[in-house]
Amino acid sequence: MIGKLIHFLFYTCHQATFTIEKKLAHNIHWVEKIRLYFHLLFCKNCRNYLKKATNIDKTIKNLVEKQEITQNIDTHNLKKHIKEKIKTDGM
Amino acid sequence: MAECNKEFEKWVDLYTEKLLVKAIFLLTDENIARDMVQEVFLSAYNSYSSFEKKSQPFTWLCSILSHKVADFYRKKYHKNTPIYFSHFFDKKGNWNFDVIDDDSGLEKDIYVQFLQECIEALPDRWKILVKLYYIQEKKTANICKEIGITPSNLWKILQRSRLQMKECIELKNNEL
Repeated sequence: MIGKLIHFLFYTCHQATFTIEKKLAHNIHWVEKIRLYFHLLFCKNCRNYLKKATNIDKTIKNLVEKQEITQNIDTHNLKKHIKEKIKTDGM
Repeated sequence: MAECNKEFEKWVDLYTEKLLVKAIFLLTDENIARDMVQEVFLSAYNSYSSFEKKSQPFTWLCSILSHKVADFYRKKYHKNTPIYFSHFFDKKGNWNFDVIDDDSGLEKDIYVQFLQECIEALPDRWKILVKLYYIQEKKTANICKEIGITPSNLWKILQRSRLQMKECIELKNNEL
Protein backbone atom coordinates (compact mmCIF):
# COMPACT_ATOMS: atom_id res chain seq x y z
CA MET A 1 0.00 0.00 0.00
CA ILE A 2 2.71 2.41 1.04
CA GLY A 3 4.71 1.31 -1.97
CA LYS A 4 1.75 2.11 -4.22
CA LEU A 5 1.32 5.53 -2.66
CA ILE A 6 5.00 6.31 -3.04
CA HIS A 7 4.92 5.30 -6.69
CA PHE A 8 1.81 7.33 -7.31
CA LEU A 9 3.38 10.46 -5.87
CA PHE A 10 7.02 10.05 -6.70
CA TYR A 11 7.50 7.94 -9.81
CA THR A 12 8.00 4.24 -10.32
CA CYS A 13 11.57 2.96 -10.55
CA HIS A 14 11.15 2.73 -14.31
CA GLN A 15 10.17 6.42 -14.44
CA ALA A 16 12.85 7.37 -11.94
CA THR A 17 15.62 5.89 -14.09
CA PHE A 18 14.24 7.80 -17.06
CA THR A 19 14.27 11.02 -15.07
CA ILE A 20 17.85 10.29 -13.97
CA GLU A 21 18.72 10.32 -17.67
CA LYS A 22 17.18 13.79 -17.99
CA LYS A 23 19.10 14.90 -14.93
CA LEU A 24 22.37 13.68 -16.46
CA ALA A 25 21.48 15.58 -19.62
CA HIS A 26 20.95 18.72 -17.49
CA ASN A 27 17.47 18.86 -18.88
CA ILE A 28 15.31 18.32 -15.84
CA HIS A 29 12.34 20.44 -14.77
CA TRP A 30 12.16 21.46 -11.12
CA VAL A 31 8.95 19.51 -10.59
CA GLU A 32 10.68 16.40 -11.90
CA LYS A 33 13.62 17.15 -9.66
CA ILE A 34 11.39 17.19 -6.58
CA ARG A 35 9.56 14.01 -7.58
CA LEU A 36 12.89 12.30 -8.20
CA TYR A 37 14.27 13.55 -4.90
CA PHE A 38 11.39 11.96 -3.00
CA HIS A 39 11.59 8.75 -4.95
CA LEU A 40 15.28 8.47 -4.14
CA LEU A 41 14.58 9.20 -0.48
CA PHE A 42 12.52 6.03 -0.26
CA CYS A 43 14.23 3.82 -2.82
CA LYS A 44 17.69 2.53 -2.08
CA ASN A 45 17.94 0.61 -5.34
CA CYS A 46 17.42 3.75 -7.41
CA ARG A 47 19.87 5.67 -5.22
CA ASN A 48 22.46 3.05 -6.01
CA TYR A 49 21.47 3.11 -9.66
CA LEU A 50 21.95 6.88 -9.71
CA LYS A 51 25.49 6.44 -8.40
CA LYS A 52 26.29 3.86 -11.04
CA ALA A 53 24.66 5.84 -13.83
CA THR A 54 26.56 8.99 -12.85
CA ASN A 55 29.79 7.03 -12.79
CA ILE A 56 29.15 5.63 -16.27
CA ASP A 57 28.29 9.14 -17.47
CA LYS A 58 31.52 10.66 -16.14
CA THR A 59 33.69 7.84 -17.40
CA ILE A 60 32.31 7.99 -20.94
CA LYS A 61 32.82 11.76 -20.93
CA ASN A 62 36.47 11.25 -20.01
CA LEU A 63 36.90 8.54 -22.60
CA VAL A 64 35.53 10.79 -25.31
CA GLU A 65 37.77 13.67 -24.29
CA LYS A 66 40.91 11.59 -24.15
CA GLN A 67 40.69 9.62 -27.32
CA GLU A 68 44.09 8.34 -28.14
CA ILE A 69 45.51 6.52 -31.06
CA THR A 70 45.64 3.04 -29.64
CA GLN A 71 45.99 0.94 -32.71
CA ASN A 72 48.21 1.21 -35.72
CA ILE A 73 46.14 2.51 -38.55
CA ASP A 74 47.57 3.04 -41.94
CA THR A 75 46.52 6.41 -43.29
CA HIS A 76 49.10 6.78 -46.04
CA ASN A 77 46.84 5.48 -48.79
CA LEU A 78 43.83 7.28 -47.42
CA LYS A 79 45.67 10.62 -47.48
CA LYS A 80 46.82 10.00 -51.03
CA HIS A 81 43.33 9.05 -52.08
CA ILE A 82 41.77 12.13 -50.48
CA LYS A 83 44.26 14.46 -52.16
CA GLU A 84 43.54 12.89 -55.54
CA LYS A 85 39.79 13.06 -54.96
CA ILE A 86 40.01 16.74 -54.11
CA LYS A 87 41.89 17.44 -57.32
CA THR A 88 39.35 15.62 -59.49
CA ASP A 89 36.03 16.10 -57.66
CA GLY A 90 36.58 19.19 -55.57
CA MET A 91 34.79 22.43 -56.36
CA MET B 1 43.24 28.57 -55.55
CA ALA B 2 46.69 27.03 -55.60
CA GLU B 3 47.28 28.41 -52.16
CA CYS B 4 44.03 26.97 -50.89
CA ASN B 5 45.04 23.60 -52.33
CA LYS B 6 48.37 23.67 -50.58
CA GLU B 7 46.80 24.68 -47.29
CA PHE B 8 44.26 21.96 -47.69
CA GLU B 9 46.83 19.29 -48.44
CA LYS B 10 48.52 20.31 -45.24
CA TRP B 11 45.26 19.70 -43.40
CA VAL B 12 44.94 16.26 -44.97
CA ASP B 13 48.45 15.40 -43.75
CA LEU B 14 47.87 16.82 -40.31
CA TYR B 15 44.37 15.67 -39.45
CA THR B 16 43.52 12.50 -41.37
CA GLU B 17 44.78 10.21 -38.65
CA LYS B 18 43.11 12.08 -35.80
CA LEU B 19 39.83 12.26 -37.69
CA LEU B 20 39.97 8.59 -38.55
CA VAL B 21 40.43 7.69 -34.89
CA LYS B 22 37.32 9.69 -34.06
CA ALA B 23 35.38 8.19 -36.95
CA ILE B 24 36.32 4.64 -35.94
CA PHE B 25 35.31 5.41 -32.37
CA LEU B 26 31.91 6.64 -33.55
CA LEU B 27 31.21 4.02 -36.18
CA THR B 28 33.29 0.98 -35.12
CA ASP B 29 33.51 -0.24 -38.72
CA GLU B 30 36.87 0.90 -40.08
CA ASN B 31 35.85 0.82 -43.73
CA ILE B 32 32.79 2.98 -43.17
CA ALA B 33 34.95 5.29 -41.07
CA ARG B 34 37.52 5.67 -43.86
CA ASP B 35 34.82 6.57 -46.38
CA MET B 36 33.38 9.02 -43.89
CA VAL B 37 36.73 10.78 -43.37
CA GLN B 38 37.10 11.14 -47.10
CA GLU B 39 33.64 12.65 -47.33
CA VAL B 40 34.46 15.05 -44.51
CA PHE B 41 37.49 16.38 -46.38
CA LEU B 42 35.57 16.71 -49.64
CA SER B 43 32.77 18.63 -47.91
CA ALA B 44 35.28 20.79 -46.11
CA TYR B 45 37.09 21.53 -49.33
CA ASN B 46 33.89 22.50 -51.11
CA SER B 47 32.83 24.82 -48.33
CA TYR B 48 36.31 26.09 -47.54
CA SER B 49 35.16 29.66 -48.09
CA SER B 50 32.67 29.39 -45.24
CA PHE B 51 35.34 28.30 -42.78
CA GLU B 52 35.82 31.03 -40.25
CA LYS B 53 39.43 31.37 -39.36
CA LYS B 54 38.41 32.01 -35.78
CA SER B 55 37.96 28.32 -35.04
CA GLN B 56 40.62 25.67 -35.27
CA PRO B 57 40.61 23.66 -38.51
CA PHE B 58 40.44 20.41 -36.57
CA THR B 59 37.42 21.57 -34.55
CA TRP B 60 35.72 22.53 -37.78
CA LEU B 61 36.50 19.17 -39.40
CA CYS B 62 35.22 17.37 -36.29
CA SER B 63 31.93 19.19 -36.44
CA ILE B 64 31.55 18.18 -40.10
CA LEU B 65 32.33 14.59 -39.11
CA SER B 66 29.74 14.65 -36.40
CA HIS B 67 27.07 15.99 -38.83
CA LYS B 68 27.97 13.29 -41.32
CA VAL B 69 27.70 10.56 -38.71
CA ALA B 70 24.32 11.93 -37.61
CA ASP B 71 23.25 11.86 -41.25
CA PHE B 72 24.45 8.30 -41.65
CA TYR B 73 22.60 7.30 -38.49
CA ARG B 74 19.36 8.97 -39.53
CA LYS B 75 19.37 7.25 -42.91
CA LYS B 76 20.28 3.84 -41.53
CA TYR B 77 17.94 3.78 -38.54
CA HIS B 78 15.07 5.89 -39.79
CA LYS B 79 12.45 3.50 -38.46
CA ASN B 80 11.35 3.86 -34.87
CA THR B 81 11.68 0.49 -33.25
CA PRO B 82 10.14 -0.07 -29.84
CA ILE B 83 12.47 -0.21 -26.86
CA TYR B 84 11.72 -2.86 -24.31
CA PHE B 85 12.40 -2.54 -20.61
CA SER B 86 10.75 -5.76 -19.45
CA HIS B 87 14.14 -7.28 -18.60
CA PHE B 88 14.74 -4.55 -16.05
CA PHE B 89 11.30 -3.57 -14.74
CA ASP B 90 8.02 -5.40 -14.10
CA LYS B 91 4.66 -4.16 -15.33
CA LYS B 92 4.25 -1.92 -12.31
CA GLY B 93 7.55 -0.23 -12.97
CA ASN B 94 9.46 -1.89 -10.13
CA TRP B 95 12.96 -3.28 -10.54
CA ASN B 96 13.05 -6.94 -11.51
CA PHE B 97 16.02 -7.34 -9.17
CA ASP B 98 15.86 -7.47 -5.40
CA VAL B 99 19.04 -5.56 -4.81
CA ILE B 100 20.95 -3.04 -6.87
CA ASP B 101 24.27 -2.93 -5.14
CA ASP B 102 26.04 0.23 -4.23
CA ASP B 103 29.22 0.16 -6.19
CA SER B 104 31.24 -2.25 -8.22
CA GLY B 105 34.28 -1.81 -6.01
CA LEU B 106 36.40 -2.20 -9.11
CA GLU B 107 39.74 -0.54 -9.59
CA LYS B 108 39.48 2.42 -11.88
CA ASP B 109 41.52 0.97 -14.73
CA ILE B 110 39.56 -2.25 -14.77
CA TYR B 111 36.29 -0.35 -14.54
CA VAL B 112 37.21 1.81 -17.53
CA GLN B 113 38.22 -1.24 -19.53
CA PHE B 114 34.96 -3.03 -18.69
CA LEU B 115 32.92 0.02 -19.58
CA GLN B 116 34.67 0.32 -22.95
CA GLU B 117 33.88 -3.30 -23.70
CA CYS B 118 30.30 -2.83 -22.56
CA ILE B 119 29.77 0.21 -24.80
CA GLU B 120 31.02 -1.83 -27.74
CA ALA B 121 28.65 -4.64 -26.80
CA LEU B 122 25.61 -2.38 -27.27
CA PRO B 123 23.63 -2.78 -30.49
CA ASP B 124 24.84 -0.36 -33.20
CA ARG B 125 21.53 1.49 -33.17
CA TRP B 126 22.20 2.60 -29.58
CA LYS B 127 25.97 2.62 -29.54
CA ILE B 128 26.39 5.22 -32.28
CA LEU B 129 23.79 7.46 -30.69
CA VAL B 130 25.37 7.22 -27.23
CA LYS B 131 28.78 8.15 -28.65
CA LEU B 132 27.36 11.00 -30.72
CA TYR B 133 25.61 12.32 -27.64
CA TYR B 134 28.85 12.48 -25.71
CA ILE B 135 30.98 13.73 -28.60
CA GLN B 136 28.52 16.57 -29.08
CA GLU B 137 28.80 17.35 -25.38
CA LYS B 138 25.26 16.24 -24.63
CA LYS B 139 23.61 18.94 -26.69
CA THR B 140 20.25 17.25 -26.71
CA ALA B 141 18.43 19.72 -28.96
CA ASN B 142 21.17 19.57 -31.60
CA ILE B 143 21.29 15.82 -31.76
CA CYS B 144 17.53 15.44 -31.86
CA LYS B 145 17.33 17.87 -34.75
CA GLU B 146 20.10 16.19 -36.72
CA ILE B 147 18.83 12.69 -36.15
CA GLY B 148 15.15 13.52 -36.31
CA ILE B 149 14.02 12.02 -33.00
CA THR B 150 12.26 13.55 -30.00
CA PRO B 151 14.23 14.32 -26.82
CA SER B 152 12.05 11.85 -25.00
CA ASN B 153 13.09 9.11 -27.41
CA LEU B 154 16.73 10.05 -27.08
CA TRP B 155 16.55 9.79 -23.29
CA LYS B 156 14.77 6.48 -23.57
CA ILE B 157 17.57 5.08 -25.71
CA LEU B 158 20.16 6.50 -23.31
CA GLN B 159 18.27 5.06 -20.34
CA ARG B 160 18.04 1.62 -21.96
CA SER B 161 21.71 1.70 -22.99
CA ARG B 162 22.83 2.76 -19.54
CA LEU B 163 20.83 0.01 -17.85
CA GLN B 164 22.47 -2.46 -20.19
CA MET B 165 25.98 -1.08 -19.62
CA LYS B 166 25.42 -1.22 -15.87
CA GLU B 167 24.35 -4.84 -16.05
CA CYS B 168 27.21 -5.72 -18.40
CA ILE B 169 29.77 -4.26 -15.98
CA GLU B 170 28.19 -6.20 -13.10
CA LEU B 171 28.36 -9.44 -15.05
CA LYS B 172 32.01 -8.89 -15.93
CA ASN B 173 32.71 -8.06 -12.30
CA ASN B 174 31.08 -11.29 -11.17
CA GLU B 175 33.18 -13.28 -13.59
CA LEU B 176 36.41 -11.94 -12.09
